[in-house]
Amino acid sequence: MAILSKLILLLLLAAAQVEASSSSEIMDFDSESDRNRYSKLISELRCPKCMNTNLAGSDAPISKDLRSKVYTLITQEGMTDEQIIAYMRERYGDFVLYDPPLDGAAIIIWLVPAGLVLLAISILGLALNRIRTPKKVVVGEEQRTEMQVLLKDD
Amino acid sequence: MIQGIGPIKLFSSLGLSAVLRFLPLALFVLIAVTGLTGFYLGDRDKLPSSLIDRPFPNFEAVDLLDAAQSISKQDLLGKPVLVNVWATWCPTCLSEHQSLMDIKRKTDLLMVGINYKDDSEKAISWLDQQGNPFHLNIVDQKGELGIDLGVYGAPESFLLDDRGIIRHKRIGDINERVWKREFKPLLARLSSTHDKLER
Repeated sequence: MAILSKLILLLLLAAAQVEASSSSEIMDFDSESDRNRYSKLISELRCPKCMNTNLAGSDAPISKDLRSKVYTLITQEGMTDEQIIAYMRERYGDFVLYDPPLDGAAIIIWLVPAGLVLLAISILGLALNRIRTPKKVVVGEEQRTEMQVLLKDD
Repeated sequence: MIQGIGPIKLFSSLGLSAVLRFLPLALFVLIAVTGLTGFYLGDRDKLPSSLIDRPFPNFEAVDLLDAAQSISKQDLLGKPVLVNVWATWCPTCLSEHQSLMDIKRKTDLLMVGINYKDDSEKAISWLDQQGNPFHLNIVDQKGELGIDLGVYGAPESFLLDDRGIIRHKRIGDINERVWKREFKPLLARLSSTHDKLER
């Protein structure tokens, strides 16, 4: 059992290694906090050339350029994280953000499922209502006497 | 949900069972239409530019054909400009080259080439061999101006008005069809406002 858990740990570590090694440039930072900011930013920003890869994980030339841009903006321009994200957004649009602001087209994505849920609930409500209220049957005079005859027979 | 009221009234007047009977069909049609729309939408790799109606970024760059000369944003003002981002490593740039030559011949646009992340010597010999469609050739070896323009590949093209405001961006090549559909009408509008200001 101990061997198995060690093996699992090893596999997990190997997976983590693959994840981290995509951006291989060696960057020098003055402080550990700058390095952390760099890693955080390049994992939060999306590669504009790719459909679903962050800057950290992409080999596209543009990602390499943008990584070095982020590096320069941190180490030489002294920009804050917000400023760097605004910088990228100004040039590449909301696409570079993995967490785009809730406006414009993005609002539809949030409202449609909510609307569908509401629709489903109202249909369900109607259906349940129908089941609960017993059906009213209009019975004519002839049928009434017929029924009484049948009931008497019993 | 505002549009929820309509269908519910309809349901109760039609009878729920009739509605329920057609619900699967309605759902199927909805899903099919959504899927087909997504399928034909195309161009999913083309990002909307956040630079439309914003001024062209300031820059200072070397002239490809004369390294002693520098080119800046000032050189792009005064009349409508077509800025084309290209490179010798980009096959699509070769296929759009003739269209650019045609545009230079047919219009009085200022044609500006940005040689993007390229080897300048290769770029010069390319222009020698294929013809030079540009009035100005900007060197952007590191792709710095490219980043300011939100460029993430080549070719990309920008149409600027006479005040250096970006009015249109094209990702991918300009061919005759694209020119007629995306650029020509816009250019006609830009030129007419330009003429009005001149007078």
